[in-house]
Amino acid sequence: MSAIDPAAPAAAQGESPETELSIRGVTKRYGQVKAVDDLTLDIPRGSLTALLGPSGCGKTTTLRMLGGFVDSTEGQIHLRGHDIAGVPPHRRDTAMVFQHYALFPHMTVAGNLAYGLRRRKIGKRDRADRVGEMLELLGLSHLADRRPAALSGGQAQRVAVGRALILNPSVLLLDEPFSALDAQLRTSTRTELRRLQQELAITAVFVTHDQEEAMAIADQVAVMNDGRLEQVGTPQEIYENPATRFVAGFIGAANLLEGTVAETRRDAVIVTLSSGIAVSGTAGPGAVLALGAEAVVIVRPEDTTMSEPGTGILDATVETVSFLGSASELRLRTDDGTALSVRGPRSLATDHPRGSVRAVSWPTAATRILP
Amino acid sequence: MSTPTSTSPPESARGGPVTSTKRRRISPTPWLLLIPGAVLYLLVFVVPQAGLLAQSISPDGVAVTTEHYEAVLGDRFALGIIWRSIWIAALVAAACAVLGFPLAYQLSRSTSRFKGLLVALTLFPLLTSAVIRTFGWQVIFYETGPISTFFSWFGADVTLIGSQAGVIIALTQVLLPFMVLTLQGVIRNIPVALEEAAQDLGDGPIAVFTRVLLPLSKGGLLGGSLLVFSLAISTYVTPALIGGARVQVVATTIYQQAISLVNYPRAAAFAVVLLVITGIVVLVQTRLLSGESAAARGSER
Repeated sequence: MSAIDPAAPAAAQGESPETELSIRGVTKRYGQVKAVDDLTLDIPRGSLTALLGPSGCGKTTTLRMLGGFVDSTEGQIHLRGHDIAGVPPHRRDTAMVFQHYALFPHMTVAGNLAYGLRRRKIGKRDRADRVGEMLELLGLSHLADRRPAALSGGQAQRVAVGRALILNPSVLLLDEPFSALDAQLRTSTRTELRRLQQELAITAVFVTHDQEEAMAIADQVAVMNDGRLEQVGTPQEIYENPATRFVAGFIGAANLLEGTVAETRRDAVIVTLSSGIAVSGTAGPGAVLALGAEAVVIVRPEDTTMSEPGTGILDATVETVSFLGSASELRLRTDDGTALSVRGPRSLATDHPRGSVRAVSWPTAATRILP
Repeated sequence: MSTPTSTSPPESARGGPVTSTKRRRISPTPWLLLIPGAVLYLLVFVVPQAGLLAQSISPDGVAVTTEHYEAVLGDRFALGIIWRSIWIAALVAAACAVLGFPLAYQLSRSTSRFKGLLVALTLFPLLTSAVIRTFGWQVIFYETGPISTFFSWFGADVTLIGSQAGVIIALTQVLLPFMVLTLQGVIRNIPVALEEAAQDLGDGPIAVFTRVLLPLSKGGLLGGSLLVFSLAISTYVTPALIGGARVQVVATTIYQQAISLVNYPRAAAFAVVLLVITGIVVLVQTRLLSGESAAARGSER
């Protein structure tokens, strides 16, 4: 990059060239309410990032700030190093796929795809070629002349994605792209979107409240709660090493056992549960655990094993047995009222009937301790 | 008012393609519900209208004559009156559309807590009779009124009382709420996301209007214009009080023929011609409207 170039990226501070989009300390206030609170997040080029969180956590506001529909109150957003604050959506090199697709009902599928091309200086023939290519890429060629109302949900979603992709945006933004589809279609559609994103090597950000969806396709998951970023990492990092109680509870199922820190060693922390049982595990990422402080032990249901009473970490009574087909899930309760969830092979459901008392164990390596 | 351009997410979002021509068996009960309205309509509209028609073609009830229609349709002066009525009504409808759209848009997109108040203010003029409002305009338009005075400062002689422009301005104000109400219902059904999508795809505000808002509210514009046109072409009070003898329209002519000249058959012939013109306009616009909604539903496939 030339130093004299006036359009040279304003900020190179710590921004890797691999970063497509950089969100720096962004806050959005509506009156007294902070919809997004001091969010800092880097979105690597060519990656698929999920903004994950419950409704009202600020994920959609964040996406709309990236698209230019909402102005941030504080902080900066850099697209390839350029601050894009105040740049309206029609001048931004981002393209949005709206939650209900927002296809133009008065235009055909081809008309919808060509919509953005008319604004750009692209010849008529070139335009038709690009629409044709996109129809082919999405497998929609036979529907070119249909109106949106005559499309199925999955088809409409593909048109919405195609309409955005045809402009070759730097970043593709998707607002709950699968929420309007039924469960079966959702799974196949997300796989399809992931394939397309990887094939085109486009940077994409999508908003979802469905943790399974985020885990299934994202390279990077940013978990948000109450306007704040709770944790960011690969799906595996987030699942295996949740940084906060919120993340542990929101991503997958987790047993959260309350206790106090009894001992901290170099490689392990020992927590005394309220029932007096001592449990050891590894401290979560960045967790500060002082002796005697309150702590929570996180155990994933699928990491647990069952055995005869008295032979495991703690004993509990089986309360409900759910046969899920590929697995079984049991809910148990200890004498002091702590609920436990256990997931295992199908045989679990038959081997441990309701009302039986069993010992539950889990390996220390799979246990995380958080303040 | 129907909203043929409703764009709520299609039911098809749940799976297979939607067949837009699903036929349901209609039970006879809904037809029973039409009876009270139909009876009233028959008594106060169809019967008197038939009487008018009868009087215009056979004033004495025995001999049939086309004399009165010849007098209406064959006379330059009478045709001029009819043409002026159509022209005024069309201009009023157009003016209401141009002025009403921004207002209706603002009202339907507003999230202000004063929205209810704003809607009420828009409809407020409807609570006063057209006569009162027209008197208001008379005061404003008068030779010594504020408008003429204002223009006289610049040496211009502008008198709106007794002018066609005056009638158009006053009628536009009187009928604007009808346009706003109609358009508001249609614009409310255009998801904001469609405007955002257009912006996102590179459209500035003007392009969003011409490429998305305008085509999607065509139904409302047509419907509202139809309503305003029919009301404007048949209105009596405003042209009579503002236009006076200098701006004769069909309605004032009917009054003159019937009341001043006691020529009922001639008045009836004018009334029938007016009805036919309005009928044609309604038909054409309904045709346009149904074409519009068919396109929106994508049923050409």
